[in-house]
Amino acid sequence: MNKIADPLKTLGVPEGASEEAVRLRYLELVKQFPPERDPERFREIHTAYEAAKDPLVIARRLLEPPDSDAPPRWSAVIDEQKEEPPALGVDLLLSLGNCEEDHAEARDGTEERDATEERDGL
Amino acid sequence: MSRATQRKQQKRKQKQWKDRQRRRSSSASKPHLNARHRDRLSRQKPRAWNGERPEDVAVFDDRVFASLPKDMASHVRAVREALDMAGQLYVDEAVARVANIPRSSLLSDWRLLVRGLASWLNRETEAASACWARLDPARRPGRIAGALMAAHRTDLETIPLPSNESPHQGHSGDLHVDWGQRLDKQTLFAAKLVRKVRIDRAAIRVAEAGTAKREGPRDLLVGPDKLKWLVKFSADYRPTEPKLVAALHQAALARAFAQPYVDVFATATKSLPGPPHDPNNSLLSFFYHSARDSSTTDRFLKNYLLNDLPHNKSLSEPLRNALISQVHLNEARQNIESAGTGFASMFAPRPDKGEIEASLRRSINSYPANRSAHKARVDWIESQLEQVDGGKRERQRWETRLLEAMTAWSHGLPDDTEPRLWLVDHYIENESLEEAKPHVDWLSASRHDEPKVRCMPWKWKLLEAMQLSRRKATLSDVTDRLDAADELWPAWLPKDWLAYLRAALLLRRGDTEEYEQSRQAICREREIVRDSLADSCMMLGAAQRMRVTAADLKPLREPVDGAVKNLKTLADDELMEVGTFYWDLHRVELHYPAYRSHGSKFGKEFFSRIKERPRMIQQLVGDERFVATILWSSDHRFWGSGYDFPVPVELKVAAKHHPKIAAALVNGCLKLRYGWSIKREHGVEKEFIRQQAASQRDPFYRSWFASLADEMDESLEERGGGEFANSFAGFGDMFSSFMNEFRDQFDDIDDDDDGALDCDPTCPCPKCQAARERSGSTHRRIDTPF
Repeated sequence: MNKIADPLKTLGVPEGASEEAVRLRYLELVKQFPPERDPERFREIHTAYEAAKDPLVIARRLLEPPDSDAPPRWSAVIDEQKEEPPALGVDLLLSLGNCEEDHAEARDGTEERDATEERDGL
Repeated sequence: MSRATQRKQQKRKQKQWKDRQRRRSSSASKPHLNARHRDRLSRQKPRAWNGERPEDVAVFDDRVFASLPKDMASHVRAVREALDMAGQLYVDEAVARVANIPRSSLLSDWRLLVRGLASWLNRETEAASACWARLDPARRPGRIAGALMAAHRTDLETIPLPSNESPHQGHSGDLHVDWGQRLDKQTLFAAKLVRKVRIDRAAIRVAEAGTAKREGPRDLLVGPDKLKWLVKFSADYRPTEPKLVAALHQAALARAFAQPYVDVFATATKSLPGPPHDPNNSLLSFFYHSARDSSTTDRFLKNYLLNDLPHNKSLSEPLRNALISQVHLNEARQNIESAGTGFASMFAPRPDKGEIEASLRRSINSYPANRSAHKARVDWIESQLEQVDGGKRERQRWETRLLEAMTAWSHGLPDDTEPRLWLVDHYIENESLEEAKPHVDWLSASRHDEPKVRCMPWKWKLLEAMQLSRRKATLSDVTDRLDAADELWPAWLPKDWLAYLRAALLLRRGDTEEYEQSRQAICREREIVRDSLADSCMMLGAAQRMRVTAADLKPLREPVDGAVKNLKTLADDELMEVGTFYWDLHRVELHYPAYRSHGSKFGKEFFSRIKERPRMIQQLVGDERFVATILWSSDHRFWGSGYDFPVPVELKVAAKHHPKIAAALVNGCLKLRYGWSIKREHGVEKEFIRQQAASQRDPFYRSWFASLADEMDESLEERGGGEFANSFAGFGDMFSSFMNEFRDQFDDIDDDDDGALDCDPTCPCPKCQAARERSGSTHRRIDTPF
């Protein structure tokens, strides 16, 4: 058995994936292949995850310099971020339920236009 | 130009100037609208209204939380934690956290909110709507849900509010909710805020426009203007779009890295923060300048190691230590490979051995479980031992370091068998049985699949027998040990040598008559000629290991020395027979002292015949003795220098169908100190033996094929890609091709890696004594106990 197969390839995450991204992907895969339904695949995924989160494996990956032959395209980076809307902070989330009238806020909410977008060339 | 035309041009220029001035002053007087949005967001805090339920207020107000009864407080705590998890997009964990809140609880609405939030965050608005339909719109969870659902509407600017502006309506429990009916001024405002932050995402449109603007020539990936724009963009949007901002930063840095413009790179690294593991871009600067100007490289790396990493609290301590360890290991490798050995050292500066040793130690001390660092250290020390020409003291120093290195490896990675196997051999050879015993016990109890580990009880008995043979007083105990070894003999290892060991014991005891009978019996049973090459080598080897006296060894040396002097007269069969014996000894790491002086000669002779008559390969590939001899040769890099790989093409062809030949090629590659491109070329053989491993009946090959393939993968993975690693590979490859081109010219030079001494270290003859005096060596490597 090949214990050295690239753990990131097994998990289906790109080379530069953060610890967080690796963890989320692992959780997704475990949902798809739980141990009671597909023990073989689960073992493979779990082994790959253990290897991918090994500090030495992460360190080796982080110590790779960027690929100067293929620098990232702006559009590719932005397209990737389109798929990941920003998180809602807890304070913001809870404040959505406020009931007290704040006139300044209410006025801004109806009249606001984003002139910054116009200035920045949209 | 006429005066009228001149006047017209002047008036036009004045008008243009005035327009510019007017525009500047108008934009200066307007408040920055994005700054207002930022300020508004920063003021978005939950505030309780008069009469709001205390259990709802307790979710965000610590004073109210402290006043709650215990059971309710535990539910509120769960809600707080779940909202925190959901905020970080751990939605499944968030749902699980509130799952235990019962329906009858006053906090049940919050449980429904979290469940629906998981769907909403995953863009499953139908599911979210169904979940939230049961919420009380008069309570905070219901209001939050209303704002979130309304945020998906595209008519928020024009939607009319319900006539009854109070949203405090009882809910019907109807699953099909008209969320528009639940809006009031505040929830409408909240919905617009959510839409702006999370759905419309103005930042994306601004980023697309900003990055699309052309700047300078086509090949300019990022320039000063783009960097200035990015800094401004980050200030505007970091509070609401931290991931987008970070991603654009990394893209800008990578683009600056790919350019030759040092000033732009410097600006980028100073004005943009780096990734969590390199926030000051010190490591990136090190990589950048490594490829360009080595004089400034060191300070970036020092800064990274001494300032940045130790203070970087965003990384866990194990990861920090692993980074430090890996950097030191890379440093050591760089120093080792930049100097090279043998012919490379003619052209490169002498390596600072102290620096290499220090880097390896620092690597291991930073992260004791770094197997690559331990292996690199052992490999480095063994390469120094191969080159020692400074005499006994220097050899002893390196041997002591090797012992330290193996001991450190065993402590840092207690489950690794390689250092323990080495330590057992070392301690027994040095009569430190007490030190060896814990490792023997551990290996025996480990239930490791590896045959070399499983046969440890056998090897222990054999080594005990050899060690007890040293003294006449303990000779009587040797037979028992040999009998025990006989019982435990591994099924995958031929037992031919045992008869020779027993014969050697008879000789050691002085039972010359029985010894003679024993020798004759061996030749009869094995159907070989007395004092043929294999017979004489096996007897000499057994006699040396069983501590036969020098006087009795002398007649045993003669046929071997004779064979060495007349290599060309030896038959191919004879060379293959002895090759098979040596492969078996290699597999269990049991050599005899004189092997170092004549083993390589037989190996090189046979291999030179293969190169001269490559058709032999096809004719002999079905002969197990030929295969064993090839395998033995692979352990010595096919008698090459460590830079080249002198394997005939016909052998590579045979490897396609013969797994053991393929394994030999992979094994030989792994013994190369450099030549990463050669390793990559043998990827096909590596995959072949990996596939063949499970089907091997012989447990030794079943385990060995798999571990060879894994080791090759590890070796290639560690070198990796990228300029940093490739620079080493390139250097090694350059010398590898140099060696291949000029090998014939250097054939006469003996770069035999079997040791500096060209003599038997225990031989009392004048020639060997003189050689030892020249080298000053009386104590040999661990596998040559005499």
